[in-house]
Amino acid sequence: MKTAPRQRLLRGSGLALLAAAIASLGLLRLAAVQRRACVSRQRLLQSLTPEMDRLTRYQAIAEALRQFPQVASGDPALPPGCAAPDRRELKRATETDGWRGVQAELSWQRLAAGQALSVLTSVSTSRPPWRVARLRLEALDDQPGQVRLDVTLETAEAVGP
Amino acid sequence: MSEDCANDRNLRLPRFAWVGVDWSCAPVVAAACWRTPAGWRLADLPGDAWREARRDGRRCCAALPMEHIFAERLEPPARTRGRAARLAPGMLDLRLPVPVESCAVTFVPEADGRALMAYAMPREKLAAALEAHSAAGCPSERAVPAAHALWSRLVRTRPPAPDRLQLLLHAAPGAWTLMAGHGAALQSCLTLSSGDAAAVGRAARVFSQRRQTAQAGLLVCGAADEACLAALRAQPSLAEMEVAGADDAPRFLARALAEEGAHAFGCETGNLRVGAHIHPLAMAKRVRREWLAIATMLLTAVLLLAAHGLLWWRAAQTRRSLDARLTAQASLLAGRALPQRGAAAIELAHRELETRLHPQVEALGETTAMTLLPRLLRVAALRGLTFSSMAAEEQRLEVAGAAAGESDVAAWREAACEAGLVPAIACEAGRNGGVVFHGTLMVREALP
Repeated sequence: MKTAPRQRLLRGSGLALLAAAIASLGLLRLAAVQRRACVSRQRLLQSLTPEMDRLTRYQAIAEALRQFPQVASGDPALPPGCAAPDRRELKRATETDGWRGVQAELSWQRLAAGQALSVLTSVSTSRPPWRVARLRLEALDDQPGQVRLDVTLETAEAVGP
Repeated sequence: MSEDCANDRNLRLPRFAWVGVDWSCAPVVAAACWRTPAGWRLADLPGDAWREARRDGRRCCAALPMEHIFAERLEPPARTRGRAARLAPGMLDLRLPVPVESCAVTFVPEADGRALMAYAMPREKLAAALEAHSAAGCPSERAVPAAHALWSRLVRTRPPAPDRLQLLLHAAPGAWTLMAGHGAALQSCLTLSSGDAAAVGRAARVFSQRRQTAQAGLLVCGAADEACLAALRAQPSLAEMEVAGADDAPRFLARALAEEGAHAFGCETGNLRVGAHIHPLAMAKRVRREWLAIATMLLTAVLLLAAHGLLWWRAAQTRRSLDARLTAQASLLAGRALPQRGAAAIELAHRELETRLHPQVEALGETTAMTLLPRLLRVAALRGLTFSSMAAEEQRLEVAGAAAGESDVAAWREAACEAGLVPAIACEAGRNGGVVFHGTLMVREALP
């Protein structure tokens, strides 16, 4: 019976192939489960993108504000040669979570129209950030080319360490 | 089948040709059969030159004498051929005068239908016949019942009509073998004394009566001369039968064996050299085939597992890396490591983010009408627009002013749209050919 071990091996190989085929089917199913999980994770990651952008934006602003702790007591950067505005602090909120909100109003009773537009551009893009909460620009009827400008600005200042 | 019965003394025997050896004649008759691109080629091998090339019996096919073989036609009551093959040994055991275990057995299925022709040869007789072949200098790789090879050649070369009683007599010097079939199906096989024409006549009468058919023919092959044919024709029961000698009568069996070997394509059907009597070369071939099968199956199993395992591993790796990214982003949003994972962690991170961000600081980064204003002012400056009033509050911008023409206002309106504002601006004719405009611009995101 010299052939018996070989026959057993042949049968064993067949069984191994069958087992491998069954295991492969199982692995295919597992891989499909993993792929479905990947799709769901990618969807979750995509859903986080706006929040991540929001956080990044927030951190950038917070970082900029921390670099200039005295921002609220000063004015936003104005274009060179611009007349100094009348500054009035409207509100200084109580501190919450290390931040305090500040609202100030800048007024120019008479300003050249071109310069007024430069002021608007400047305060809108100023660093550290000021937010223009309200704006009122009116041409002076009796003085052509001159305008009256009132800008209400808001910012926050870091309090404490 | 294309046949070319060459008889060339200088013929070079191809290595893959099958050689049929008829040991019943003296001298021994041999023929070769092989496949060529043009079809099957059949050649007679004169002399003993072939023996040198086939000393080990490789691709040689010999006939086993029918006087030592039990030939039984079995019709197992089975619907499928496989089931019929399983039932056949039991049915054969009932018909044999000796136990089936003591015989080497082969079953030849009919081309159509589930009937089988069973050939059983006692093992000691088979061993003796094979020993005789070895002693003669050619231990054939394949040994088949003579009747099987002869009938196969008859069906291949002279296919009988379906309803015709066909008899085939192999007149060997030692014993005659008479085969009877209906159409292409071999029905029974008798061994008769050599030269007993009367016995052939009696058997033919029995077959004719059993089959109830008028059409009948007897083909004679082997060592049958004219005197033998005349003796057969003289039998009353064969008088109405067409009795003819095969053109290649002396070489009929050798050619039949060569064809049988070549057409078997390695299949064991009809071969009695199986089990303990298997030829060493056939055994080596089988061992090679089995090792190849083992190697192929194991390799396939390993490759299957490896390929699918790799697929699964890569998918799992991707999921793990996405999980890590998700956890990192959720922790970043929450500002701390979260105990939860997956969707729960995301939900928690959303809530944590809402409490973490200071609304006034966050408001500094929001898009308002004022953040879009610098772009509008640039376009207004380019187009020469002048503003008489401008008021902005959060998402709303109210403007009034004058322009040189309506196209300038339209361009400004277009710029506002591109910047993300929704303009509602009306124009009226002004002084000096110009236009005055007034209207409102809303941030698009603020609109319902």
